[in-house]
Amino acid sequence: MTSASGRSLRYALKEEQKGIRFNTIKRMDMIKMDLFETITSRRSIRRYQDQEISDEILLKLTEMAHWAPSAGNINPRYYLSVKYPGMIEKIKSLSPGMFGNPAAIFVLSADKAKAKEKASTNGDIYSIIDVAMAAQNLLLAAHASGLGACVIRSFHAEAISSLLGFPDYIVPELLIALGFPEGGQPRGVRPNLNDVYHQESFKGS
Amino acid sequence: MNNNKLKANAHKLICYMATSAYNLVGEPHLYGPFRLVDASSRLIDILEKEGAIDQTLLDARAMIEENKYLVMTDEKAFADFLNELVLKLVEGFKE
Repeated sequence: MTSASGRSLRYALKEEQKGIRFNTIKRMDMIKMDLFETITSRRSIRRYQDQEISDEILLKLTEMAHWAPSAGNINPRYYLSVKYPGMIEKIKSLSPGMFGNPAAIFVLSADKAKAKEKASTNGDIYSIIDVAMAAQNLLLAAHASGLGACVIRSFHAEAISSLLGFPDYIVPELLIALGFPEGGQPRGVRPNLNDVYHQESFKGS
Repeated sequence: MNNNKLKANAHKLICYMATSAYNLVGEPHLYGPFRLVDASSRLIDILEKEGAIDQTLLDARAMIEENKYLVMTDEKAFADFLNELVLKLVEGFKE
């Protein structure tokens, strides 16, 4: 994504290379604004153009996802991408929450045996949290790359595992449908921030 | 469409409906009507490929695709759309 703040940051970095020093806080603001814009303009995209996504982009998105934090440093995540249209159709038939014709699908999964070994009874929830954090990284990276994406939980995990040949200790937790967006940007709806943000103590609702 | 393609497409739709049924046990209640109209749209896709289609069904699918995502933003508008869809489909019985 190219933004005014992104251009400003590049300008600042270029000027800095020439020896012109920018105020540190101003520079941080430039970086933050670029990220903030990516976060607030991201939407769940469910309509896609008929255009392929390169393997390089998929690998880069995976790398971005993989840098997400890991609860308890368990690192139980696995990433699987699918581009073959026949397989995408089969995954769609087992994923009622998936719409449109994505160019690629990511299956984000967790090694439950590793999670249990490292975090005992907390392993399961830790591994789900890990996958969710990786998914958010991936969604933002996709958006910043000009792609549309939608995260999906409504699918049959056991059936997807069987279809894709997962061993029984690796469980798909989230799917992400990806493609170049078709049509307009959906409206973003969130509860009013004032209703959900509290300071120092919970004031009731 | 030959029988094998019809069978493959029907298989995918049945997978979708069965998975929906399984998942809906634990999903938000509005996902139920949403999955039903989405399945209707997918069935119309199959009928179109079979050549077993009429204008009422094509219009119904267009209406579904235009309005189904209201479920996420406006429950009343979504319910109104479902009502309009049924009224639209009943017109097909009169033709």
